[in-house]
Parts: sequence; C-alpha cells; structure tokens
Amino acid sequence: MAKALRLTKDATPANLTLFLTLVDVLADQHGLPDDARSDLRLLTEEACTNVVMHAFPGREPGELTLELDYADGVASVTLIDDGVAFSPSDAPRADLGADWQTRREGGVGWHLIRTLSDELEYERVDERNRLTLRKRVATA
Amino acid sequence: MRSFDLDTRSEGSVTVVSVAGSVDAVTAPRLADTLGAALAAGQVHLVVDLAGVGYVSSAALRALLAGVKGARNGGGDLRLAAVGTDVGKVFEMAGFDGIVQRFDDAAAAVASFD
Repeated sequence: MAKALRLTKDATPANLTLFLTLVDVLADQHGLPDDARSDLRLLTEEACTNVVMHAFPGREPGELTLELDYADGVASVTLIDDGVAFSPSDAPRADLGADWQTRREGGVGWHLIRTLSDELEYERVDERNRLTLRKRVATA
Repeated sequence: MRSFDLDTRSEGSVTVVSVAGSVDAVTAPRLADTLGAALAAGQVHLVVDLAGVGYVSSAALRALLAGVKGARNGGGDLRLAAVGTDVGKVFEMAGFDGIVQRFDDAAAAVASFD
C-alpha cells in the first residue's frame, strides 16, 4: 500500500502550485478517474487558498502541511497550519441566490468544499488548525 | 506547472478573451487583470471563450463576476463561450448559471451582441 503523501511549505500564493501538484501524484499513484482528480484538485485548492489568504493576517505566512491519502475508496485531504483559529462553522455562507448586482465575489470557496466533501472534520490542537476533508472515490 | 494563456482580440464592438489552461487561484488574477484592462478602456461587450479551459476554481468565478459587474454597470455584458462539462459543473455548484449567459462557441456569443 502506498504511503500518504505529505508536503510542508510556507503558506504563500507562490507555493499553491506545489501543493496542487501533490493531487496529481496521488491520482496517478492510485489510478483515480479524471472527474475524481478534478474534484480533489478543487477541494485542495479551495482549502489551501483559504489558509494562504486568511490564516496569517498581519504577519509573515507560517507553514502549511498538506497530507493526501487514498484507501478503501476514500480520498482524504488534510491541512495543518499554525494560523489563526478558524472553524469551518465560522465560514461565511455564499449568497448563491443573489443577483449579479448584490452577489459578493467571495464566499464560494467554502460552498464548493462543503458540496464536494463527503466528510469534513476540524480540530484545533496545539495552536494549530487541522482540517480533514474526505471524499468517496471509485477507481476505474 | 500547468500552462495558462490569454489572448485578446476585437470582433467589431466585442472584445473576445480566449483562455487556455486552468483558471485557479494562481492564474485567475491574470484573467481579472485582462478583463479589468478591457473595461478600463471602455470595452463593455465582453466574451470570455473557455474552449481551452478544463478546470476552474472559485478564484475564476470571482474574476468573472467582477467582469460581469463591470460590463453591466457600463451598459454592456460579459458572456461565456464554450463552457466544458467540468467547468460547467463548477458553475452550477456555485449558482453561477443564473448570473451569466453561456453560448456554444465564441462566434455565437459575439453574434448575441448584435
């Protein structure tokens, strides 16, 4: 069985591409179908972007650790960061029903995360956020 | 590195921005800048051709929504062309379909401004 993939880098926009590359590695390792690869990339991007954009207000970006795993038909995406505490329950709800004039340009990321995830776990441990997203994926 | 490319051309009064690659948090600011520059130049009839795009995230939606608002506030519109299946799925999940008009290809989107 393949080991979980793990990458730790500064939580900067410049490193987003590196984090997303890990999704392709996982998908290649396990022969995940294209739609699952796309969904996992979207989940991972939205979650990583939230950390990069919002976890370190007013200070230098800290580190983000991304762990990806696939076992028994379930892919898991775990993010660990030492930014400000932020539970998904505090995330703003997207105003999906609003018209173009009043609709906010933000708030969609968490909606996509919630829509695409089958399970979502959050805990604050040792001054760190730990967010785990799980998605059922059938291999081809 | 995933490739990303933008090409802008004029067809009559319509500005067509053709996008190729993934429109994600890394690349979407370039799309936003391109749309913003067109709007700043008074070009409010915009078509974004997504024929070469297989992946978008919420960052792309933010860039497009800003373009829609800018174009409509200027008396024009931003319309989409050639939205693929995977991209369309994200638009639907995000409730974006009710906001922006889609056309099968760039020619149809351009013609819709006549």
